[in-house]
Order: sequence, then structure tokens, then C-alpha cells
Amino acid sequence: MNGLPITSAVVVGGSAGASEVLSRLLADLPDDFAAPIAVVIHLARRQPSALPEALGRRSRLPVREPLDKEPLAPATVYVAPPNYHLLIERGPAFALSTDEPVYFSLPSIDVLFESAADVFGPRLVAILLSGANQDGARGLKAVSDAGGLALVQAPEEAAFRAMPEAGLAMCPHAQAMGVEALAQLLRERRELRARAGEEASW
Amino acid sequence: METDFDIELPLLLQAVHAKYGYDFRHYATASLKRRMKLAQQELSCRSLSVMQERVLREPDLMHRLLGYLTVQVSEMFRDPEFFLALREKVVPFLRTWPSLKVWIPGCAGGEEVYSMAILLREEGLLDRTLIYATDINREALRKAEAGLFPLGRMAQFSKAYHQAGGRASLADYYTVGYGSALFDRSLREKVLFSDHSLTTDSAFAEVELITCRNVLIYFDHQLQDRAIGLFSSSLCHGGFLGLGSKETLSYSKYSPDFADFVADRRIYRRQ
Amino acid sequence: MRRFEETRSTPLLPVAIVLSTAATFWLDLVTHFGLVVWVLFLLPLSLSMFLWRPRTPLLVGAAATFSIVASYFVSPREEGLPFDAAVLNSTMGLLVTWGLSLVARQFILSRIALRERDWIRQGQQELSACSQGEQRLGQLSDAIAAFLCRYLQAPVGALYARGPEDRFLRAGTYALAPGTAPDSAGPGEGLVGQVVREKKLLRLDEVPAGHLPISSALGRTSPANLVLFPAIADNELLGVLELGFLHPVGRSDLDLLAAVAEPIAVSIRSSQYRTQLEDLLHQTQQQAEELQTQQEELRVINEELEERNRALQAAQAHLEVQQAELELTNSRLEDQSRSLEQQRSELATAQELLIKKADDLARANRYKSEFLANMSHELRTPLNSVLILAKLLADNKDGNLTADQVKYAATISSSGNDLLALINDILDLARIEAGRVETKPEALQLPHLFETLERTFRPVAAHRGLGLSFALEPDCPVSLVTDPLRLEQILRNLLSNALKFTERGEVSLRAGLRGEGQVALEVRDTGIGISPEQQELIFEAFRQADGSTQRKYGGSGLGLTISRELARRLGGEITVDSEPGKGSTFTLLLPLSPPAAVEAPTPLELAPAPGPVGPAPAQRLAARAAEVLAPSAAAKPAVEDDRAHLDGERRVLVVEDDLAFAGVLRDLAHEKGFRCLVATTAAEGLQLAERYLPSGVLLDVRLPDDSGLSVLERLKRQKATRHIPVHMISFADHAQQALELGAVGYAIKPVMREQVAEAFEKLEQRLEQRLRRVLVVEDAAVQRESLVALLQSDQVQVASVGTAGEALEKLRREPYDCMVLDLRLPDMSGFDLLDQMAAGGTFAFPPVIVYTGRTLSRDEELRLRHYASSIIIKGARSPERLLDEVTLFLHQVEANLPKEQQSLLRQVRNREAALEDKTLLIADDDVRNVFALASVLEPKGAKVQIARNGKEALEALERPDSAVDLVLMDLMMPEMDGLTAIREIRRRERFKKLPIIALTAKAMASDREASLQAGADDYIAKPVDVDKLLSLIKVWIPK
Repeated sequence: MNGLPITSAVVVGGSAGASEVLSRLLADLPDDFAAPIAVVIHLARRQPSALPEALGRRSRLPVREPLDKEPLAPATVYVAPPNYHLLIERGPAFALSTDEPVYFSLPSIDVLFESAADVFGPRLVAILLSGANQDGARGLKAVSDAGGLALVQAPEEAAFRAMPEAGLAMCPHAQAMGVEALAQLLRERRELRARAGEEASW
Repeated sequence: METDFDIELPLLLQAVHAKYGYDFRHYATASLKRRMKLAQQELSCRSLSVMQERVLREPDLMHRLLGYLTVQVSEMFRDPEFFLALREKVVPFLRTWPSLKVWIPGCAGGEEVYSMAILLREEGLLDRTLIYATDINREALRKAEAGLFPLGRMAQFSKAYHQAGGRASLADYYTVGYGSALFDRSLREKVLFSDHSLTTDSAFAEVELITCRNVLIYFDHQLQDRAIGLFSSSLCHGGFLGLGSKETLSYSKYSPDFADFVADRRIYRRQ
Repeated sequence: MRRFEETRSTPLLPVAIVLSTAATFWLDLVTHFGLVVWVLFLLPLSLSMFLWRPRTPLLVGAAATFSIVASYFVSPREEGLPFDAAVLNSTMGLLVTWGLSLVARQFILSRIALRERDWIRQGQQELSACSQGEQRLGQLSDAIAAFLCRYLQAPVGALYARGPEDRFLRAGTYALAPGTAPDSAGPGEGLVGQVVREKKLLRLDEVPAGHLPISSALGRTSPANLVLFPAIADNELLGVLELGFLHPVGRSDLDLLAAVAEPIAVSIRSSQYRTQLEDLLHQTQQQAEELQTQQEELRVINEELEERNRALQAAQAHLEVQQAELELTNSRLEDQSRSLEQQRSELATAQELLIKKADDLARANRYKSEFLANMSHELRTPLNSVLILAKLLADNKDGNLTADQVKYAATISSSGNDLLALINDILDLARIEAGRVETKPEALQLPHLFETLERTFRPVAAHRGLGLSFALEPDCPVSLVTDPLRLEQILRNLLSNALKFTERGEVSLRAGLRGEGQVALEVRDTGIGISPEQQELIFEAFRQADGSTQRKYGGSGLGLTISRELARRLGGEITVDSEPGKGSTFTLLLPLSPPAAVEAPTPLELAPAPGPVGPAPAQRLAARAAEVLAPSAAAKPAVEDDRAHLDGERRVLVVEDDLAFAGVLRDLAHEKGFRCLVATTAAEGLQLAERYLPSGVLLDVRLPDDSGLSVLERLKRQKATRHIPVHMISFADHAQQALELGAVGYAIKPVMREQVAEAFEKLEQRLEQRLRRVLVVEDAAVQRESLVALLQSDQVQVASVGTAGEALEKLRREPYDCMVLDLRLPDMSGFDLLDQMAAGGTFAFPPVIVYTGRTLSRDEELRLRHYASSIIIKGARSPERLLDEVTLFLHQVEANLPKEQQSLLRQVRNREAALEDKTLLIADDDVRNVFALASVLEPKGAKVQIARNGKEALEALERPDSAVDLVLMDLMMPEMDGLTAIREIRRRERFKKLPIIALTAKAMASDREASLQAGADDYIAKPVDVDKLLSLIKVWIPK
């Protein structure tokens, strides 16, 4: 699987109430899921995070924090390390930065989403989950403007609705979905799965 | 797929390089674009072409742009485990040199510099050490040299200082006034603040220790290699290199020059 | 129960019982009735107690009864025995045997019961063993089912554990065919459900067809009997076990099941607890993460609020301030309008004053120019006599002057002529500026003018080997009206300049029509050209940016200024178009007829704004060097070599750009039995060395793309190539440096064949010499021995001594590759030892590693660094570093210089006369750099002083006995940086002319300019290119 070029990716952002949802989404992925997943969840800045381990327990895919300039590998979940912004460069590879926090958040969802939109354009699925501030909304709009698929967790289902609501307000094209529907979409979307030698459908 | 912005960016960088000698052409694109967009917005330029026009005519604007492109946020004793490893594993080797030189490239606001000076002072090495603190942003260097930090940041710094194995109280090293903390002049006596660019300039001294943390993340592969090449040629045989917690030499062609020393703290040793 | 009755016992025992019973029976029949034969029945009876069947004693008892009764009827009667007594006897016999057989039966029964208890206990123990450990429920249930089936010999089984909502889920199975038992059961559903409801054991002897089938490779059968029993603990039903048997279910089976029911229930419960606990733990961890996230979020929101609050407050404060300001501004505005009025009148006065001042200035300037113009006579007259008299002396008609005196006179004469030309130029310019040049326009024939010019310049061009051509374009008018003398002066100036600055190629003058009524006269050359920045400067009087040009090509540099002024007088102009390295074109544009009124002389222009400083000499030197070297870069292997068939180990790499010589070296290599690779550039050399790892390298110093020394240095720096011996062959400029860098030898071009052969021998020697020698000088015996032990290896031989005297003795006798020195020695300090080693030529001077327990002052360190390659302070990690450094030097530096090489070095030192006895001050805090520079400069006879910062440099210069001829100033230094130091030096009158070369690691042009503006004469980039630096020093150092 490692030889295949990375053609599409999933980015996920969230804050309060998001890690449980994400954990469920990861547990539901099918065996042939091939796209890399990059995740930003707001965490305390100055202590090591146990999030990769917590997510890894229920995920079939390996979960880890990426290194600077590490190339994206298929079927891997990458979690932004605390106290760094996580960005995606052409390559595609990860890049980190210690720039100013965005909406007081480091890592910031906007930063990841915008850079990923730049690299993947229409071949990106972005999911904004539960949270209590408006980080991620602008990023979601950038994804949608670049032709990517912008999704938010349905606010009425989210533990904290501010973040998904901000996302919907900023990016009217974004679709709101329940967790089950999100999981199903990830399971069934063809371009996110391993293809036996055939090219992408777009 | 290429936006106007994508087309204009390399042109602007080319112009800045030709006119002012600052070479940002090999900075990592994603961060650079973010910073550029911010600069464009705050300097109220309709497009990068407009900014290019203005930057070429107004040297003052260049200085402001430089601020956007270079300054990054840092903390004293950022990643305390790193400083702890320096103290416990590297310092015993540093003691074997009769005099020491330490290079901190990309020192920005000076947080790392003062952290290093305090650590060396506590280990009894500062008297025989010269620290080169370099950056391309002269404004930042001036600030770093002043040694003045907002008092509000001290609580966090102090916590990290203790986690890094600090032996006293951080407050012993600064005096407070007007909402600021002013670091002890004697810490600065052994520091040479100087303008130096990893992008264009060459090695200037043989040093025993380089810490360059969270600077390389802003460079692309090619520029990272250049910088690491400079480190390689500046470090004496057996000298040490410390990188940021998520930075690695693995992707560099100079990695054979170095051996892991404290692998999980990203401390390498020149071979 | 049968399980325990049928256990093994010797077959002898039943046989013995039957035989003894039969024998007694027979005996009883044949003997007289009333004999106590029945006593013999006690034997089989007691034997039967050893069997496991409780029935056996009864059978024996029955047999005895039968026998006794039969004996009553059948046995002969004993005559003497009373019948009653015999009956009594028989009756007793009956009673005793029955009594005994009952006792025996009871005995057997209790033994069996004991055995059963054992079996059950063992079952309990084994079960608890297999349900031990932290097993998940499935695992545990499988283990329990498997164990019970095996222990009870049930071929199939399943265990249902209580799940959520009182449903019982199948958790473990044994040999169960898939799909043959329900996955779960609620109360009342099926057999399991029945047990759940009743919480009682259910035993079925008639199993419904197809229920819990036993499947094997041979097919399926249904179990004959089925047992379902509940696992209950503390009145709580936790599981149901279902077992299928092929044989009838015994009581002991049921007993066992009853005994293990509770432990099974308990283990199910604890396993369920454990699983629950783990789930909870994971959940807690995730919740902790979530909590962190929420905390972070709270912090974010808090910060955001604070920020907004701050902003609000700031805005409010701002508003208040603004209001106050507005009020203030209002009143101020009124004041201002008043003062503006006043200022305006003041300005008007000032303006008048200024106009007057400007007039005065212009007049003064004109006075000056007029004065100069008037001076012409007064200046020229005395100079003329000087010239004539000098010429007379130089002719030495009387022959009474010595050769030297004649030479002096000739020098006076030629210098005087130069001075005269300069004065003429200055006066010319002054006259023009003073407006005292009049033009006399008349018709002029261009071909005629060209002829005159050609006559003058043809010989000069021929002498310099340059082409010279004159051309009139077809459309060009043949004649024009202008001042012929002035035009000729301009063209002469342009042509002579063109010839002066052209080394090869040609110079041409071409006339053509341009635009409306203008003639263009173009002087084109193929000379050094002028950079864009300089193109403006060259026309400005007294402002040649680059002094060195003037020095090189002579002349006052005023010619162009004069020409431009003259052209203006003629109503035209001069423009220049040039590209450095390509050549220049000066174009004089003139109107076909002179303008009606020639512009009045402009008053002296204010000094022109300082333009950008042109590229400094160093850059141009580099550019010229590149230009000269560029064409020789070779693309393909220019000399055929053996890279196609490299076999064997002996291969040598020749790096030489002289193809003929490379060929010679290759042939010689073949003769010596080496395969040979040839590279013609430094880059190719390095590449081949890395790729083929030759056993030796012959290296030319002067290569087209890079210095051979840097190739050497890089070979020695890389791990893979460090060991390869390198022999240098070149002009001897860098012998010592090369040897210090680790070359095994050095031969000076032109080389004799023998020398080359020698070079090959050296390489061969080096190939064989593998054992390295290290000298340890340390006074403490224990330490000494441990150092020897540390450093010794099969490739390193270590000698050790305890005193400086012994060390010197050792060094005198044999060469060492490296020396480890403790500073504290009984007879002499380490410093003195090093001084002695450096002073006496009889000692080989290996690389020295100082290994000391004391901390060193800056001065001591500096003193040591002069000799020592490395200094190590003893401490916890010092042995590792020592081993490291020694290993490094053994590979890096060649220690012993043979005698002839040493004398050769001395010779080399004398060749560079420019630096002989000059004192250079190096101001640099980078010790490595200082000593690298010193090691280049000192062999050339220069004395090197060292300062570690700007302050020390100033101090060194101001010392009364200081005699510094040139300063190398690093810009980046502690305490006082280079720029400040240069400015300080220049502020002192006596150092105004002291040459200063700045060293900078910066690439930005502005930094270099800054150093020039501060007062440096030149600069050079770090890392310092030795050749470049030497030529720069030669340029600047006073001769």
C-alpha cells in the first residue's frame, strides 16, 4: 500500500467533545481505507498528549504525531502535536510551525485546513466536529472554495455546538451530518479506499 | 489551479532577494503563504504585486514585511526535557573543552539565548563561553539584546525552568519594573548578538554546541540541507547539535555527519 | 458410581476369591456336617475387601450360605458330633459370614466414597487452575467448557454467560459444530432458557433429535444424555453450562457439577468485572483527554474574552484621549495659523538670502576656476625647466653619472611628464568650467579627421597587438560644421582610453547619421568594460570610484570629464554603453551644424549625490579569475584512463588539468603497476575519489574550478576518503599548508621524472604503513598507564613518558603521528615543552592534544592553540573525547616531515617577498580561523599579531612599538565589532592610510558596502579563500 501515491486526504478538526466522536469514526473505517487522515484537536499546549494513544486503541489504522517534513503515508492517522501548528506542504508532506496561535489555539484547525486545501484542492474531505470556538470555520471555507468536500457534525448532535455552527455560518456549502452519516460517508467514499490498480474516478 | 497569489509570490520573493538580499525563496511554502497573506492584509495591499511594487520603493515597508516573515513565538525553556537532557548528558562533555562557543541561529526574541545562558551559568560554564545569537531580523536582535520580557510570561517560564532542572528561582535572574522583567546584564555579557542568515551567509566560527530549535521547520528541504551543512561545518569534531522536538536530520544528506546522542530529545553529535 | 467400581485391580484377586469360595464349598460338602469349614469362607471374604465392587462380599456371603445349607443336606454326618451342636455351628457360620460380608461391603462403599470426593476435589482444583489469570470472558468460557468436557468425558459442551438485560450469551464452547446451538437465550427460551428460569439442574435422558449434535470427521451423532446446570453464586445466576454425554450421566458427574457450579459463577463474574473495569479505564483516559480539550477550550474562550475586554477598554481610553486631543488641537490650530503667518515672512527673507548666497558661491567658483586657468603659465614654467633639466641629466652627455643616477634622472623626467599631463588636464577642465573655452565652428571633413587619428593611434594599437578600424557609414555626411580642434581632442581621448583598457580584440571608430541632423561618432572597444554603477562616475571629475584602475592604467582620470564638457560646448553629448568583460562603446552625438547659442557656462554644480558604490575590487578580481578560468573546464575524460577496467587494489587517481602532464603521470603509474584514473578538475577529482576510493592520489594545486588544497582538505574531512594518501604536485606556493592538511608529500613543478617516481614510492610506503604511533606525556604513572590502555590498539602503538626531557628525547629519535600532553610535568611545564618543540628544527612536531586537569585562562588557551590541535579538560567524559580526537588526528595529519621537505619549506617561505617582514594584525575571535590564516601567512615571512575583538585590535595598534602594516578585521566579534573598530581606527590621523581588509560571513551586498563605508579598503568573504586573500593582501600591503 505504501507504493501508491497519495491522491486524496481527510482532515478533521475539533475541540471540546470531539475526541469521542473521532474515536468512533476511526473505529468504523473499513479494511481497505487508504487515505491519510490529519487531525487537529485543541489540547493543552505544554504537556505531551495522550491523544494518539487514546485514539489508537480503537482505530485499526496506526495513529501518531508527525515529524516536520514527514511525507504523508496512506492509511495513517496523524495528530497535530501540542504547541505546533500542523500544515500540509506539496509532496505531500507535513510541515510544522510555531507561529502565533490562531483564535488562541496552537495547533489551529484553520491552519491545517487552509494548507491542506491548497495542496489537495477538490480531493480533500474536511470534517469539523464539536467545539466551543470558531477556529476551523475559515479553514472549512477554504476547503470548500478549493472544491473539497466540507462537512460538519450536526450542531444539534454535537456536545458543543459553537464550532460546527460557526463552520456552517462561514461556509454555507458545508453539509451538516450526524455521526452515523459521517461514518458511513467515510466508509463508502470510493476515493478514500485502496484501488486495485485503477485510477481515481475524477 | 494556480491562483494569482501563487504566481505573484515567487516574483515578490525574487524581487526582495534582488533588492534587499533577504532570500525567502526556499522557505517552506505553507507557512510562508500564511504569513504573506497576513502581511498583505495588514499592510493593506490589494495584491502581492502591489506589495512588490511598494516593497521595491519603500525600504521601510521591507522592514515591516521582514517582521511578518521572520518572527516566531518562542518560550524560555521550551520543551524543558530538552534542557534537562542538555544539563545531564551534554554538559559533562562541554566541560572537557577549555573554552566554549555556542551558536543559537534564528534566536528571534532571545528566549532560547537567555535560557542557555542561565543553564550554563548554573553549570559554571558561562564564564568560559561565548554565545553567538544570530538572526536575520535586526529588530528582533535589538529586542533580544535588551533582555526585556513581559512580566505576564514569567510564570510559565518559571515553571518550565524548574522542569528543566533549574537549581534556583528564575526570579534570581531578572528584576521587575513597569510590567516587564529585565534579565541580568551579566547574562548578556557573554552573548554576541549578530545579524546572520542561514539562507545566504556562511559559517563564521568553530563552535561546540548549536541549538537551532523550531527554525528549520520554516525551511524547505533544500534550505534545511544548506543550514544543516553550515552546522556541520561549524561544529567541531564531537560538537553537539540540538533541534526542535519534531525536527529530524533523517531527511538531510548531511545526516551521516551526525550521530544520535539523545535521540528522543533530538540532540545529535558531530562525527 | 460405576466410574469408581470399574477401576483396575489385579485379575488375580477375583480368581482367588472364586477359587477359594469354590474350594471351601467343595470341602464343606465332602467333610462332615458340623465341621467348622465355613471358617474358610473368611478368606474370600477378606480378599473381596480389596476389590472395588461392593457386591462381591455379598456374593461370597451368598455362596457361603448356600454352601452351609447344602452341607446340612448333603454332607455326611459325623457320628460323634451331636447334631444340635453341628446345626449351631452352621448357624454361627451363617451369621458370621453374613456379618463379615456386610462389614466388607460397607468398607468398600466407604472407600469408593472417599475416592469420589478426591475426584471431585481434583476437578475443582484443575478447574480453578484453568480459570486463573486475567482472561477475557470468551477465553475463560472456552477454557471452562473444554475442561469440564474433558474431565467428564462429555464430547460436546457450551457455556452461556449472563449478558445485558438478563439474556444469556453463548460465551464458550467445546467441540460445538457451528450453528447448532443458539447464540443467546432469554428466560424460558429453549432448554437453556428453562434452566435460567428455574435456576435448577436439568437432566435429559431423551435428547431431542438434532440438539447439540456431536460432529466429527465421521459424521454426526446426537448425545444420549444432556445435562444443563446453572452456575450460581450468591443466589445470582451467572451462567448455564450445557453438556452432552454419550453415556448415562452418573451421580458423581452431577456431584462434580454441583461442586464447580459456584466457582464457575465466580470466575465468570470476576472476568466480567475485569472487562468492565478495563473498558472504564479506557473510557476514563479518553475522558481525561476530553477534559484537557475542554480545559483548553475554556482557556481559549477566557483569553478571547480578556482580549475583547482589553480592546474595549483600550478603545474607550482611546476615545477619551481623542476628545481631549481634539480640544487641544483646536486651540493649537489658532496658534499655528498665527505663527504660520510669521513663518511665511521669515521664509521670504531667508529665500532672498539664499539666492544671494548661491550667487556668491557661483562667483567664488568661477573665481577659483579663473584663478586656476590664469595659473597655467605660472605652473608650467617651473615644471618645464625641471623637465628639461632632468632630460639633460638623463641623457648623460658627459658620461659622468652612474647608471643609478641616470635612472633617477629618467624617473624625474617621466614623473614630471605625468605631472604635466595632469596639470594640463586640470587646467583644461578649469578653463572649460570657467567658460573660457571658445569654440570656432568651421567645416570639417570627417575622412580627413579619421586619417589624422589613424596616423596617431595605429602604432599604439600595433604595439599592443590590437585591431584598429575606422568606418564611415554610407548615410553619413562627409563633412560637418563644428570646432575641429575640440572634436579631435574628444576623439583622441576616447580612443586612447579604449586602447588603454583593452587587452585583446580591437578598437573601432565609426561615424553615422542618427535621428534629426545628428552625427554619432562611436568608439567601440572589447576591453574590460564598465559596470552600470560606474558608468555615471567615470564622467565626474576627481571621482574615480576605483583607485586601483587608475593605478593600473595610469592617467589623471580627468579625460572623460573634459571630453564631456567639451561635447556640451559643441552642442552635443557623450553617452556610454558597456558591459563588464565585454567592452564599452562611447558615443559622441554632435549636431550637423552648431547650435545658435552655446549654453553659458553653468555655475559649479553642487556635489553630485553619492551614488551606489561600485563593485569592490575583490569582486572584480573574482569575476576576472572566473573569466580566465572558464574555458578550460573539460566535459569528458580528457585523458584516457583505466576507469573501464579497474581491477586489483592498486589504483591511483591523478588530478591534473595539464593534459600532457596528466598523460605522463598515467604512463608512470602504469609502469609502477598502478591502475590510473585521471581527473582534470577539482570536482571530477573529488567525485572519482569518492566513487573509486583509490589507494593514492596525485593532486595538482592549481585546478580550473577550485584549489587543489580544498580538494585535499575535503578528502581529509570525509570519513571514507580520509585514509587515502595524497601527494601534491604543483607550484610550491602551498607546500606547508598541504602537508599540514595531510598530504604525504609535495613536489614542485616543473618536476623531474625522478620526483614523480618518488611520489609514487611515497604513496606505496604510505599504503604499507598501517601502524600509527602515539606519544603520551603524563607524569602520573597510573594515569599514564590508563591512557596507554585507552589508546592502544592493533593499529596504534603507544609510547609513554613521564617527563618533558624524555619526551624531547623520544621526539628526536623517532617520528610520532600524534602526541598527548599533560601540562603539568616535573621538569618543565607543558607550555615550555611546546615552545622548545617549536623552536628546534630537529624535532618532528606531531599534532599535539593537550590533556589537562586545570582550567585555562583565555591567554593560556590562545598560547596553546598555536601549537596544539586540540585541548581537552579532564573530567567525566574526557576519555571518550580523547580517544575520539586521537583517532581523528591519526587519520588526518601527517606528522613527520623529512629533512629535505623541511628545507624545501624554508625555501618556499622566502619566495613570497611581498609579505616578508610585514606585520599583519588579525582581529578575529574565531580561533580556528585565526590559526588557519596565521598558518598561511607566517610561512610567507609575515609576522602575525592576534586580537580577539575590536578593542584588542585598537590596543594593539596604539601600542608605541606597534608597526602593523595591514589589518584583517572580522566584522562579527564580541565586545567591539569590526565596523566600530574600523571607524575608530580611521578616526585616528596616523591610521588614515593603514590598509584594512574586512572579513565577513555575510553575503548581502549592503554589509560589504557598510564595511567599505566604515573605512575598510576591501573585504573578503568567509570562509576565506586563501589564494584570494593572499592576492588581496598583496594588492593592499604597502610595498
